[in-house]
Amino acid sequence: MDNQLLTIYINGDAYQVDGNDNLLAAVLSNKLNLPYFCWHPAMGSVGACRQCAVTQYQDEHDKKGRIVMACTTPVAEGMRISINDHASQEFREQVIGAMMTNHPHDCPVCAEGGECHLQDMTVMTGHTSRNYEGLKRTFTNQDLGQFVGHEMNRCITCYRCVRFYKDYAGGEDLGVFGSKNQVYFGRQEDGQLESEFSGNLVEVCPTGVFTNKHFSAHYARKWDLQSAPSICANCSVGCNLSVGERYGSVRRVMNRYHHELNGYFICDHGRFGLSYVNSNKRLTRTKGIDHSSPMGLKKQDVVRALLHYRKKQFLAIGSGRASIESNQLLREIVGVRNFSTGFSATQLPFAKQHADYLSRHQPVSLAEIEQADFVLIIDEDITQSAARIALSVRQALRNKGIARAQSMGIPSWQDSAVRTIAGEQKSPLYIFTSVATKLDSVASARYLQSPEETKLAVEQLIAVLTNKHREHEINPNILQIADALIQAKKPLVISGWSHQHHGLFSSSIALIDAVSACHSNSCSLMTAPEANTVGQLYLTTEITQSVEQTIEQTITDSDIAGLIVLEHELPSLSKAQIERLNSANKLCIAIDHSDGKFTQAANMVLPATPVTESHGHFANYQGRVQSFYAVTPPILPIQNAWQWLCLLASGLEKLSDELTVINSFSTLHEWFEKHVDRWPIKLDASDTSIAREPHRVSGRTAKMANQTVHEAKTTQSEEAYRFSMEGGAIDTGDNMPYVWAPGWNSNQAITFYQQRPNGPLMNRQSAKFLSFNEQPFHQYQSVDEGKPANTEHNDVSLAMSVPWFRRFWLTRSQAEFSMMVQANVLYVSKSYANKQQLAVKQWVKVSLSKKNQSTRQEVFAQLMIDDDLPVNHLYLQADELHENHWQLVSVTLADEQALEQWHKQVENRLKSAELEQKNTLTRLKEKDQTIPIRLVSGGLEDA
Amino acid sequence: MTPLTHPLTHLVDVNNPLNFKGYCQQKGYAAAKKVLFEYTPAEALDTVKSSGLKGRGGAGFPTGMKWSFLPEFEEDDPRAKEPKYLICNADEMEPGTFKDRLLLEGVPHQLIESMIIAGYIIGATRAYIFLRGEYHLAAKRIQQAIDEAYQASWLGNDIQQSGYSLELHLHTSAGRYICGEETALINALEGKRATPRAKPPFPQVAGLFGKPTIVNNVETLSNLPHIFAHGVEWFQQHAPESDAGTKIYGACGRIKIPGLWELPMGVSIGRLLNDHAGGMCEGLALKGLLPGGASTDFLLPEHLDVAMDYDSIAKAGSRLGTGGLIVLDDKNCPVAMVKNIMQFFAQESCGWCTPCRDGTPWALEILTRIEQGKGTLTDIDELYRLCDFMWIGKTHCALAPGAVEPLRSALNYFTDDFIQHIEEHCCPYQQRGHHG
Repeated sequence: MDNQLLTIYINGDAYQVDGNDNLLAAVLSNKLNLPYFCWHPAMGSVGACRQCAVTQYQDEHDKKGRIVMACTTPVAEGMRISINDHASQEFREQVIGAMMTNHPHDCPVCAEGGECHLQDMTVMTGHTSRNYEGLKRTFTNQDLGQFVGHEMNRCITCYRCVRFYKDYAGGEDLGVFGSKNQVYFGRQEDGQLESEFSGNLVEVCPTGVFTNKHFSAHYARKWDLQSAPSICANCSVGCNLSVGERYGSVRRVMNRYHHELNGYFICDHGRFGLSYVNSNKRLTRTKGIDHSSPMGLKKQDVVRALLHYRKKQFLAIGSGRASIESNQLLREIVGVRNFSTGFSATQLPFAKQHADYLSRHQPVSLAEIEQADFVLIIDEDITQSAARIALSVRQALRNKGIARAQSMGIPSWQDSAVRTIAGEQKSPLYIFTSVATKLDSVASARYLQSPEETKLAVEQLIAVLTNKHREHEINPNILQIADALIQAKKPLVISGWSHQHHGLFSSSIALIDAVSACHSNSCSLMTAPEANTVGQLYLTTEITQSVEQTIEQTITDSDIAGLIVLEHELPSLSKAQIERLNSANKLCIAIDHSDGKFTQAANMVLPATPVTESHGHFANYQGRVQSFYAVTPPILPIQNAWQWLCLLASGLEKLSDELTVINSFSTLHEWFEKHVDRWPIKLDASDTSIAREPHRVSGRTAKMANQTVHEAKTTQSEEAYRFSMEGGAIDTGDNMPYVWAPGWNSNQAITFYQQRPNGPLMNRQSAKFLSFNEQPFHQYQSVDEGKPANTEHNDVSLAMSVPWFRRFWLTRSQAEFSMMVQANVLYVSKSYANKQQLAVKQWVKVSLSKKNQSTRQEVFAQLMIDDDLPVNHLYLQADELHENHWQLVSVTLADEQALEQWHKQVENRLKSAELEQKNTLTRLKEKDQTIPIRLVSGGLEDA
Repeated sequence: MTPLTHPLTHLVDVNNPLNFKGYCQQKGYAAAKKVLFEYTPAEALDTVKSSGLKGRGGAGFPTGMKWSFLPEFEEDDPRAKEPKYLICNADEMEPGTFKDRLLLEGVPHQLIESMIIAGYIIGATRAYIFLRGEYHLAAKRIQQAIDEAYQASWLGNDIQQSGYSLELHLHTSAGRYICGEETALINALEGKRATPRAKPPFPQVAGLFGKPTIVNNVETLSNLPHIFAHGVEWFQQHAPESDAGTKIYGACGRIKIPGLWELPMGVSIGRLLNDHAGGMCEGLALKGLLPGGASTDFLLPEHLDVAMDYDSIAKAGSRLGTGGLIVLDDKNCPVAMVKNIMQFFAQESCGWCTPCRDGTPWALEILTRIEQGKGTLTDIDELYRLCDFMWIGKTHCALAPGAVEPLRSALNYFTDDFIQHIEEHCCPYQQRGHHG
């Protein structure tokens, strides 16, 4: 529908509104206050809470009017309404009064206090005194698992939680129970919420029923938090986050609105997956550098430590976890030839082809996904690898129903009406997959098979689309997919790296090429493994070596003095290699923020900042370059990786002297602009300073009063963002540290910074994308798929089903994720089970080997039948395995003793995780009382 | 009782209802046969429209007009091939109302015949009877009748070789008053929460499973065979101009003969109460009455001459509703009665919209206090405020306004009783030794 501007009269004044909007959205677009609960800009109107009532008049002579619900009333030219008349004001106050009959008024102990939509709306309606004299309803709360707290007595029954959880996000384990004024929102019984989007309940709930458990455990009011705009570092989507900190520990993550990407919602990996920054696995000290002063580190210390290595050649490994700046700088230091972009030997061919794909296709944004009316997913479990994309795909499936509703004159925002009309009708979604995925249940068809089979199917589909087929050779299912694709207005193809099958990856890209050749409005996207993987693709060239090659060369090449590894855990590094590195006398420098395999092995460790303490850029799956800012300044000797690299450059006497004096992010960028070809980023020059802390910040001067009565100096940073409440408006478009508007303390205040609800931010900057040149890698050989020899299972393929909380070592090593028990299950077909004489629920020992390697691994799993599996394909879900590069050796009945031992191990892991979680909390709370004063000074030279 | 004077009930036998054979012997299924073989659906629809039949479920909406809202598609439109549904609303749960039960238990085949006719006219291929869960006997008898009809080829594929097919299913409700609201009923039938839907879309356009659907009350549907058997003129002669047909009236309360009577539409309240229900019990006088179930406004003894048709009752300030009188005598406490009714509506609120969900229990809480003699005069203002709060247009459906009707009319008509409770700090009726 076209955006048609209409004029309506609100309280007698004329306003311009969008003709496709409902009255509530129109009122809010004009930045007028009108309270609401059940309406949500992304979820539309259902008319349950009755809070947004206004008086509508027939014409200018009508003085009485009638009450209508703004959220369910479409705007019309010349419409006359009133917000400030007595009748509608009184009714709105009554609605709050009625809701409050059961609300416990426990604001002082509520985690939502001070940023509660219910508080805001209560004040807005002027409901100030209570008339209800009866008893209040009480409920029993549930344990909803690791992330979300539950306090049902606070509920005002707006139904937003289930509308988000079930209708919007497709969750199945949160529902509505009971009726009348005893409506209960919860699970059938206590237990971990199963949805990957459960954390959004915290923001969707207008009051404190659903709260962030991590935040509640170590709590601060919103006005006491220091916040900064950040980018999620846990997958390639690049969701915008607002991270909140107090006393040097990160307290919580909230969604930061971006109309093309995450909109109003993020996944649980983004919201809860940052706890590693508070972990005791954080590196806080240097290794291999003698500190000349007890007060801290001096530049000379680094220079002295590197004295023997001046001008020597180093190899380096960057990573998709590190910023564009750090990787680029590392590459400049060691030179292109010596710089590995951090891809393993298996990944490197994917990387090169992915870069090639990016040179021809612009991957779609999440907002564009939601416009698609046909989706084909090629063996990528996006719900686990890039969850926010899966949420958008779910919205795309609604387009058929929305179109049907529109044909009946029902606008898309009439949520319940549209869902009634849509019934079970969905836009087509076809899935080829090697593991069962959560989107399967909403797919038109799902083909569960090996990547090899999928590759053949994709090739058939290409043949059909390019008219190079003879009808009788093609599987009718493929013809059906091709038909649906051709008929669609905006077909979308999604794939990624998770299947780790190179042949399938190539043919997926060939398919995308074929689709875009035959359908002008088609679109596609490829997910990538890490937050800045696409930034690394940009640095990958023909000569780029894999991680394995780089390590091997470091060991064997006598010209190489050592290896610098930037924020890379080097999972493939073996004990033998570590020994060889040591005996070859190589200097291994690790720059990272958390302790891992390589930081333990390295002779020199430089503690770097995680994303919450850094300033830099990531490029998401689209190549969209986004900046993140430090929410809290690092405590020396922790520094930004690029700051360490400047010191290394000076110690190793690499690059120009200019670099050695770089002490700010903007001078670093100036240096890049001068010295780097195709340097893609231009910093926005900003004159205004922006406060990270809200102006009402309490106890600002008392924060450290237990240690000194003097007010501490705030950390000076040259960026626009201040580590204080000093600064101008928070309205900085794309980079708001937190959201607040007069009268609106909750995140719903975002409406006042948008052009219209659900629309772009008013002050947004234009998006920046990396531009990829056509790659010369077309002809590189297909790598050997590496079937191991001499196993009885040559003909059987195995895929790993890895949930999001096991995908990244930073996340999975955290206590709360360790405590999320994932059952070990091997899914097989019935005929496979019969052939192997195994029965359902039997415990089996699965022996695995790594491709091209002698590494063996054995895991215990329970056998389950998946009737959709072909006989030659299995998939395994196992807590111990996080990657898809295993080959099946054998499946045998488990030995009882060994099984028992394994069960004990799991139990112990849970126990120690529980203890660790407790200890971490105690440590952080203690730290609140003993925060070092020097935290508030900044920069190395200060020390 | 003849078919011409008591079309709906002349075959009713609550102890031993007619089986298929017996029903056929009484000219059963003759009207259905006539419609299937002699009428096109469009012709039959015209007949229903011109008959003036109005919905007997409470709202009184013209049946033929309701059916004509079904969308018509061009033949090549894919939507033309989508199914349509017919639902019989047999979820009779309005307090004081039990007319449908008589038809369901007493002459089950009449309903099936009616549904075949309605299904044929609207082009439904599948039909459901949504039956109140507590009507166990009706469930048994309806299911038996459905089975017989299938055996006799009056249901299923190609009914009587007419080319028309209809699948009919009995669904017994899990038991919520709100399922009487047609869209809540549809949600319940789909296995969802029984919450009324947003309208538009109306069920005629997008109802059960998003497909065009007609929902009609048992009594409404039961008129159909007789309209086709005896003609439109015969049907219209039973009632004054604005209405047509007969109506099953009921009466309960402390009256001599509580019960049900099929009478020409528009009988006066006085005749119904005194001639058919035998008047008040000994020693009691009429204080007021609810003319059509619990969700209608009180009427007073001065209204005895009002005709029980949709327009006349509306003019008197109430609604015909289901046509089931609930009679209040002078020795029963009106506050207790209203409290009792409010308790029902607070209990049956679906919990969707705020005014109903939180307003009805609030009103109940105040009424309870007043009834116990603990109320204050400001409580009466608060009750009036709540009546405004829950009125039409402010709520999602008609349940809360239905709860307001007896409350507000009681506040207006029986003000003294409320004030007495407050001033005497007790229930004056209990004080006088009457039943409260």
